[in-house]
Amino acid sequence: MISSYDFDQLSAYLDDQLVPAEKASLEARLAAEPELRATLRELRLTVRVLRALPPVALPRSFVLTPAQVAARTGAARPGRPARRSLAPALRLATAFSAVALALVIFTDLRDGVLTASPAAQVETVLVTTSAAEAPADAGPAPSDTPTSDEGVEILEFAASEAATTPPAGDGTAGGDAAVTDPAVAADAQATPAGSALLAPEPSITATPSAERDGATPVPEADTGTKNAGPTVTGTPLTVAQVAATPAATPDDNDRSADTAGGAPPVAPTPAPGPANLRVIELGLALLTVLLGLAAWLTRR
Amino acid sequence: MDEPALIAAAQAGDLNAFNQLITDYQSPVYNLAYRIMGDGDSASDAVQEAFISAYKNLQHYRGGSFKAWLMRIVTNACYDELRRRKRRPAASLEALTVVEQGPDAETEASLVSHAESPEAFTERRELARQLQTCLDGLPEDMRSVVVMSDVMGMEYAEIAASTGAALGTVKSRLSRARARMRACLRQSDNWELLPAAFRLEEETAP
Repeated sequence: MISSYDFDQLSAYLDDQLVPAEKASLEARLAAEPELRATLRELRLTVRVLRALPPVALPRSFVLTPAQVAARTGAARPGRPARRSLAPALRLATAFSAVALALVIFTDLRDGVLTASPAAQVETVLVTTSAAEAPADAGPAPSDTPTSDEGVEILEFAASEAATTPPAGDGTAGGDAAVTDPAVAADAQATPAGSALLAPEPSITATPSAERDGATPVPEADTGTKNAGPTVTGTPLTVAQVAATPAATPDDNDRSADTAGGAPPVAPTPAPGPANLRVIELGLALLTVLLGLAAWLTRR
Repeated sequence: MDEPALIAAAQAGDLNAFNQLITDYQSPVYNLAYRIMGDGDSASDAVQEAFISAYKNLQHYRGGSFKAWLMRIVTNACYDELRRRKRRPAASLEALTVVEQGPDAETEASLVSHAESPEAFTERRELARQLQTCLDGLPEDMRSVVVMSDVMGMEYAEIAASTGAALGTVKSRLSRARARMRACLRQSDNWELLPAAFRLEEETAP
């Protein structure tokens, strides 16, 4: 069996690259080992055949023209070289974008927002627009719409409990609304129609709808019962917390709560962070995908 | 004008001087590219790219063998093109088809010998095709070394300078490349049909 060392020795022997001692040793082995001798013969034949390959005629002259040189050294040359030079920058940008996205998501998770209600956070962005656009007199929503995820309900209940705690519960419609409305509202938020939660309990949900649409909440507060006021306003707070944009709606809610007969001091104030983070995450994700696509297209 | 003067002029921006250098070296450069790439079109692209790159980077030439410097640039251009082919299988298939159809026109033209019989010409062409197929099957680093050494007759030191590898590495790659070429040729039908001249020379060799 011919080892790779033997091949090295035979190859060097063919090129007369062995030192005298190595050469003498190999020649002694060649005299004694027919297999080694046969291998040397075949290797020599291989080299001879390769060396007999005739040179290939030039298909054309490769002399450069000034235009070729100028085009290559010019900065604004379109086509492959420019695209190639762009590719590393795009890959780098993609990597940075991905890292930024990961950091934002990490921050988000660390704050415990995503872990509490991941789907609700996503819905926040969707609902923000639908709630703002939905008219107060939207048609009745199907009452059998699938219940939204638990995350939304958890937030709704937490907020509604906080809103209904301070005023003395009257045990009437107000109390019922405080408990049931958040869930109903959450259900409605999950539907495309957004504000179509009026059908099941129109007397109560009319107020949040009007408030969300920017209608003056004062008449509602005046016509509503004293006890129902806080509970009703507590309900739109929870809806608005998920649905409204952080900039405008919280003020509206606070105002409506004040005018509706004294807002509870512990009424939850919507945190603007999650919605902003959602927008940033979506934007970064989109940017990462686009940059990655561009880097892939220019990878040549 | 001798070579150092041409290089100095080219480094100063004299394109005519650089074109004189191209005229001197384009044949070995193209032959190397042809044997590495396996087809004329890809070799032409690599050579053109290499000469433009060489002119652009002339200020980085620090002396030594100018031929080896050019060979290194064209070798890298070939490697780049081969890697592109790997990423784009369609282009690779196209190139393979060209090889399978037989040697390029320029190869055939170079193989024509007026003193040769049609049978001998056919035999040599078939052998050239088989050799190129075996070369194409080698890893890139082995292929370039065996082409420089056994096809182009370059010395070890010049090959080392052209590939950027150490002398020992060149010897090792060449040894492995020759062993693979031998195995490839043995597997082919041509091993028994190698031109009689090779065998006769072989039998009488010391």
